[in-house]
Amino acid sequence: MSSSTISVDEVRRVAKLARIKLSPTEEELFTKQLGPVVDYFEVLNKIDTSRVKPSFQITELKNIFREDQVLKSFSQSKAISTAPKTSNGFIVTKASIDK
Amino acid sequence: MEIKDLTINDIRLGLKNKKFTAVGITQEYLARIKKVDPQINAFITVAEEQALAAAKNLDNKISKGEEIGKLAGVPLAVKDLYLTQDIQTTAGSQMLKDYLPQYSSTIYSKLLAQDAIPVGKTNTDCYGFGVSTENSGYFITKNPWDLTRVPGGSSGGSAAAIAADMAVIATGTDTGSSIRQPSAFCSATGLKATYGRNSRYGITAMASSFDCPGPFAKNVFDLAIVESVMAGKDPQDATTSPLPVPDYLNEINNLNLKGLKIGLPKQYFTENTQKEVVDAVKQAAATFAKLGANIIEVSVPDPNIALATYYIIIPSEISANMARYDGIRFGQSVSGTKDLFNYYLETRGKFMEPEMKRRIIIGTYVLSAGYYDAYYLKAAKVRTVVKEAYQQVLKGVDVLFAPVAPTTAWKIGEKVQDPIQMYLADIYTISVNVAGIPSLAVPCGFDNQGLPIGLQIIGNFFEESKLFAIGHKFQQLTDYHLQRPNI
Repeated sequence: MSSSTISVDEVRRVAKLARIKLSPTEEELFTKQLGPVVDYFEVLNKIDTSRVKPSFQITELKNIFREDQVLKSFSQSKAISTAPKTSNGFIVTKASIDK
Repeated sequence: MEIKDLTINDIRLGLKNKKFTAVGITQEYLARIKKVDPQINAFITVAEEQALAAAKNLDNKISKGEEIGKLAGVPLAVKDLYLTQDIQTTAGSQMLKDYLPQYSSTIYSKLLAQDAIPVGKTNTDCYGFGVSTENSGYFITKNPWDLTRVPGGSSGGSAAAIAADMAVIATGTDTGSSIRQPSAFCSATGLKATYGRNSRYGITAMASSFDCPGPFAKNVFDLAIVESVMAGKDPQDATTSPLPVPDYLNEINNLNLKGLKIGLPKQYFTENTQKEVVDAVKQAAATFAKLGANIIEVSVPDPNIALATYYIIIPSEISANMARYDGIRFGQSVSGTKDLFNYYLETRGKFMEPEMKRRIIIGTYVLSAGYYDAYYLKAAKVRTVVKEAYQQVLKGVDVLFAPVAPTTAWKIGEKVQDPIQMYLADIYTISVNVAGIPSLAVPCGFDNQGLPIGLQIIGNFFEESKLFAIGHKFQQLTDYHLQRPNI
């Protein structure tokens, strides 16, 4: 089987896009493991799909709507009860924009 | 008859006739879990308090002469991907350690409404990412038939709990094999329903267009009862089908064996399949042939095609779904990072399991600029090809019989270093998920090491009734499902 080589830089780039910090051991491991996985995908090229429409789901359901009603919901304190850090009924997070 | 041999209807009738109490049954099961589970590790959380409270509540109902539910007093093990209000829900991941959901999944609520007793939350590969429970962020579940082997996965904890008589029914999710393959490895009975038959609401998402929640039981009849409770339209999950749910129990004995057409897809019976597995599945078909069924060899797309399709689309959906684990609204998080970007990097780097990272990275890679057409779009087109091919084949036969997995349970650790080998374990189950159709897994034999073998009975869209009828018939003719491990 031909082997796609995926470089360690590529793994780092993708990990950064996915917002995951990898240890050097993980970077090495994933670099080694991803090539064969991507190679395995080659088998799909045997299938002629030039006239086939893609399926992004299989239910054939479309446009499922419901009445826009106000329903009972959690209290504010319950809604945020799972957040690691809260203050005055709000979830606390780091700033996403620099001043 | 021992308590652990009771079926759903035995328990319900026994309660009605005051032969025993719900608290009594629950205590027996909790005691069995205490005794047996230290060897098996099926449960991440044992819900002793909630189980006893539910049982007490049920006993009160009975003493007041109130109507009781279809699952009254039945010990239920819940895969830890199902949100259970006020019971820790980890999804098998350290990322969600100590997470206490404010609400319950639809299916769990439906089961409780029928008076099932939740005994605990079962181990799983994190978020369902695996076929052995070796990717759990907590521990590995052992196969009750051989403690040195995997129970299958991802719903390995649920299957092991059923096999070791720690619950009568259990929930699972089947995105690629995760109910059927552990059923086969542990000799449980399990259903991957048609996509959209059972609500996904309140179950941690893996790949949303594939995830199929479903039941485990010790036999097909019990399984049909549980599925009749689970199935149906849920306003909270727009992908659930509006089609009415048939009366499965009424239809379970409506099977005309004369002229029943059973297809054996030749691509599932190759030299890559363990010989004893091939023999056991063919023997199951022969059992029906003797009763008048026609056995027909059929052809389906190469299972490798479906597997490759799956391992492109699944990680793609995973990489999107896993974005929610940001350590802000729920889950574990690090402190002391300088900004939000590093907060994400550090939190996700620290708490995500290796397989979770691996799948997110594969998904992000195949979706990233320049690769979308070659991988994701191509796979989405092949998905159409596979779906249409199965629909075509199922026009010619009633059902397909196939092995659940190419082998019986392997040794713990045997495949952890090689993701491809691990992914290939799903080779015979994945096509069903790509096509969206239902499949029932039933025990059909044992190999020469005494390890269970599973049969898949695959049907067309929303033909669960037919699968139950055939599976039920098979269990009336055989006793594989009644065998229990020595534990």
